Amino acid sequence: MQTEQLNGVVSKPAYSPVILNPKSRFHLFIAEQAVTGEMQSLFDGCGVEKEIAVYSDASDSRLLESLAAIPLTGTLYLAGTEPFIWRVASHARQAGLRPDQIRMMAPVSRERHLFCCHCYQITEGVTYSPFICSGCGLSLEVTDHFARLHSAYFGYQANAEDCSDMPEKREVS
Amino acid sequence: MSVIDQISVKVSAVRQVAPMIKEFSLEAIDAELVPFSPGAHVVVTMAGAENEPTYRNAYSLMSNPQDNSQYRIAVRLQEDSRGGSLFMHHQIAVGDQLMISPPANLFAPEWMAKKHVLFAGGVGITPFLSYLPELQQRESEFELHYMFRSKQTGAYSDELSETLDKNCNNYDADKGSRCDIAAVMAEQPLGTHFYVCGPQSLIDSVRATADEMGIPASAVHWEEFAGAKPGQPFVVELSRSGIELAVASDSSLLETLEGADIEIPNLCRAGVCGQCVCKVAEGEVEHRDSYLSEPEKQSGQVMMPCVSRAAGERLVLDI
Ligand code: FES
Repeated sequence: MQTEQLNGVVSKPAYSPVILNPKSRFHLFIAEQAVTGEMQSLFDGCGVEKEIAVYSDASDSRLLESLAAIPLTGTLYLAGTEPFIWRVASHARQAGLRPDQIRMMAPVSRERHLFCCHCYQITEGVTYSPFICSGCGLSLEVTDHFARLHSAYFGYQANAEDCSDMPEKREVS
Repeated sequence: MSVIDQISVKVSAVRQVAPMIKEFSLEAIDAELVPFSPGAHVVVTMAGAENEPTYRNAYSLMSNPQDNSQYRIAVRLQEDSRGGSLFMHHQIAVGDQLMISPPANLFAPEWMAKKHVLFAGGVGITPFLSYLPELQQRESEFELHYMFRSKQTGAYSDELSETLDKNCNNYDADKGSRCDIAAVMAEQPLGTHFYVCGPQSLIDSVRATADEMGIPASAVHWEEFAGAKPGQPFVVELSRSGIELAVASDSSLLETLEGADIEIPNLCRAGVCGQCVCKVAEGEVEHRDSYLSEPEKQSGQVMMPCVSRAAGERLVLDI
């Protein structure tokens, strides 16, 4: 029952199609690894001052500098995996951007980061549940509770009461 | 907010701080006043004499939030007042008692902001007076733009420009000085939040300017202190008790209900907090609040009686 209840907590982000903010005077496009087709066409369609850049690390110092340089009337567009775009978004908010200045495209993969509530380790590349925690080795139930601060989904021991009773493996979307 | 929560206070000082504005200091009679957060307000209940209506108005607390020896409010005399401000100006003197609600806050500063830009119009300076001690204590970057007409308003402008120096910009329309809102907003850095308190026209123009410039809507905060505006008289029926009441053109529906001893929770009395929501059983509503979403308004099933009225001659509420 517990499982269902926790999984009933749906804070899984929903992504709607991204459009340009017609009011903005400056547009910054950031992609992880490679510019996606969707981002490229947005960029091409943008007629005012704009910049586009690719990073592999969401905390790259040049990326942080360019976030801090966005004007009050600017808009930030993000493409990449879910952990990447949320981490950049969190740096952007630190820099002073408002949530309505940040537009995220649907993640390019369904791989999740999984936060272990027992050892606080984050396990990457999670596609099914339960999943073995890379920190403490426990088998974790992967919930749909997304922690924006950690850009990761909340995970807890799947068979805490009875270790012979392991829930069936299922894909997470 | 029920009657039990009310705090009885005594007026300990009255000051004329501008031609049309009086400041009232309030001290608790039997309880202690609680500290409040910057931007908070109280609802003052002004019980008139026998057969006189009772007024309830929301006023921002303008004293230092850390000072719980007294609360201070400032009341502008409204020419087209439905009573509250006239009552405060003409009937209330030192020693009089009033009932106030505990402080509630719908206009707190966004402490994540890198910079705060405050636009005050006339008596709209009051909530910002409670911001200033904390902004200064936190060493936050801020600027105040204070617009008034010295023949009517303009309270505290001298003190403010003296203590805040260049963080305070005064614009006295009676001396032909005007604030170029667009120019002020255009210069601000990333992370700036804007706050507006004053007449509806000032709120509208700051919001419209932000929108035009592409400033994110969530960085603009405002407080309406206008309260209910008059409208056509109508009849309200309460379906559960069968009671029928006549709402006069210069009373709000909420005031009429309160006048019949029907207590409806309320915090802002200006259509923003959502506390007073009532279910509508029958009749068309003229929605005047900024709380309900467009679909909720169109559904015709709920309304905010503090500001909204019947669109026709009759309304049935499910209470
Ligand atoms: S009292 Fe706040 S919306 Fe009516």
